[in-house]
Amino acid sequence: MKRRQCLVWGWGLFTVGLSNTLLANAWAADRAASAGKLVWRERALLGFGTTLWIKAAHENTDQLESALNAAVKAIRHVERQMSLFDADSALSQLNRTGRLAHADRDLLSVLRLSQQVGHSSAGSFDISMQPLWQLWSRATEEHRLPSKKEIERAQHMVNLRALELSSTSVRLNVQGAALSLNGVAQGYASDLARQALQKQGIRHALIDTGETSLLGRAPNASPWRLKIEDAIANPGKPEQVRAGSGPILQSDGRAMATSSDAHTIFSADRRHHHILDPRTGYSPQYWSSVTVLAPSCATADALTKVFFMLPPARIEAECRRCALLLMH
Amino acid sequence: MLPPARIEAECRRWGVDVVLQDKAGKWTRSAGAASLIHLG
Repeated sequence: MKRRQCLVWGWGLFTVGLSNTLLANAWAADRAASAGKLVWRERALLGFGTTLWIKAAHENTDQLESALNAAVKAIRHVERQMSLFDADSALSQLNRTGRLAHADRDLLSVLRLSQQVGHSSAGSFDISMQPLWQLWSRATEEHRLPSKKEIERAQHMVNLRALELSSTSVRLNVQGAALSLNGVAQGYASDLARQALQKQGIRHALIDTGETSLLGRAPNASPWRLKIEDAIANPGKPEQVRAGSGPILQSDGRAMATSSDAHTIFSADRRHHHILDPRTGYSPQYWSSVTVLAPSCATADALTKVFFMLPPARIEAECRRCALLLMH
Repeated sequence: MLPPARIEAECRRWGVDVVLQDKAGKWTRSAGAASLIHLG
């Protein structure tokens, strides 16, 4: 699977647009940081079918290494529970057997969050859409698009009500139902890694599991700044995104998640891509990129899909009615 | 510039902020993201 990185991070790279206030704050923080002699370390690991990064700082290197180990352990735990790239994960087992008698607490938390977002968004986020994803994926391997009949058949198995949760168990009560947490698990992994670092006294860190959680400040003592991939002009590898156009988003402490139609495409014209509307079976045609800032990375991750489904025609109408303009 | 009202309403509802790029390449953001974003 291709690396899906719609947000790239750096320091000293994205210096444009800094206000005098920000520069002054960065200078003050730099002095404070140098007094404490922060040491930065990073870890790269493979997970969720991609490369994950953790970068963190602490004055004590032993404590820093211990914290990084704890963050990696947290990510591995989420992967063992929720990854579809791992045939032995709890989620893969659930999809095979339709039942988990003793489900992990974190898995249950993510399933509950997914249920809430699914119901509150009137089904625009739906973790039960794995049969649809499998159909599109299979058809792409066969160099074709799925037929309307195939999509309708797959849609019959997409039903969030098939998911039954108790305080300890999970059941899928519809034949052929299968879940995917690919739209939320990486965000949750980022949340858990962030918590693990905080528990070990880390105050400055970046956790990039494909979605991004942040603590404190970047190595140059300025706020973390991330460049959002321009999904139209220069989609591609992180180094291309860094060099290309695209807005720079400065951290205010909230997690950031981005979904884009530029990766994992099902047709060369990008009309069909990995973000599918569970209600139609097709990709929404409204947005190329959606970034959400939220207190929790799991929530931000899930909501990128909800915003992807918002029709711009209605938004444009609202704009005209309110005499508002789209920013360019 | 202000973002569309519908986006603001959704952001308020979910307690989040957003940055969106449409199919033509235009960028839109919610009010809470305005001070955090630099378009380059």
